Amino acid sequence: MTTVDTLTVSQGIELALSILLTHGWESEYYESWEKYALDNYDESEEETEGYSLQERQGAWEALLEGTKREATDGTVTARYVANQSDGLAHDNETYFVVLSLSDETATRYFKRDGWYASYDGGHLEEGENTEVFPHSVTITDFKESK
Amino acid sequence: MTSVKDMSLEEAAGTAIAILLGDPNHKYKHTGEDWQAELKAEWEVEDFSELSDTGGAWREAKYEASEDTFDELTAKVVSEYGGEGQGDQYWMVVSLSDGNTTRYFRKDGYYSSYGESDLDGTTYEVQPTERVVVFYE
Repeated sequence: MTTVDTLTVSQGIELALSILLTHGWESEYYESWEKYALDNYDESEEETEGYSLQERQGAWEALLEGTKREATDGTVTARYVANQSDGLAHDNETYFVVLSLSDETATRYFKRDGWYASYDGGHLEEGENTEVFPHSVTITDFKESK
Repeated sequence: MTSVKDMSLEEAAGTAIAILLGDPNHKYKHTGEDWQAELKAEWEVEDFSELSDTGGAWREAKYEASEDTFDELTAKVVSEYGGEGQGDQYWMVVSLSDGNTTRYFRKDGYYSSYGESDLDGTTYEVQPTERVVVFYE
């Protein structure tokens, strides 16, 4: 059996995405993430044949729009840990998502770097995968005075 | 000299921008020329308070200034964000200090990779607050 500690980075991203989409889907309007991707991004089975989940914009958008932050397939737990703007992480990259996988062998964090265009938003379907490690940093925010 | 504590928001923020644009490394000089009159003429204002809401002056300071002192007042660009490869967020925070009081002012705007960018939001006073965040590296 494959365990989290033996996955490649790309396999880790793919498994985390798969678990979150399959077991964490919770949209009120679409019964599955595939229907969401088909309706919003024209991602039919024929269109996406040969593509992995991480190569599909519809899969990433479904993750961002319609899944719980954590889901499990019974053996492995996947978490949508952070992105560039949700306040849970801080990074110089313009657009990214951090996912994690945990099982009895390990917890590992995987980062998918994408890109952002002001005319149609963020994209993660083309991007670099890296394994990352969390560490805390103190930063200064500037909030409106009361 | 009016203390920073007693200045209105417009007076303090506008003075900070004026001092930043009057940086010796900038085209306006603090000495040798009437930089204040030239600056007012450039931005078509009668009083530096008006620079508080002059987005173009903030934008120029964002790219061309960092810190300078004039008449015992120190102005700094303490934080700024926005530009190529940084999404559509675009903002800037400046401070003004007289040695006893430091106040912070923020102006928001937008960045567009295909057109104009501007700091066109309302200027408001802010306070620095520290928080712990997690880097994933």
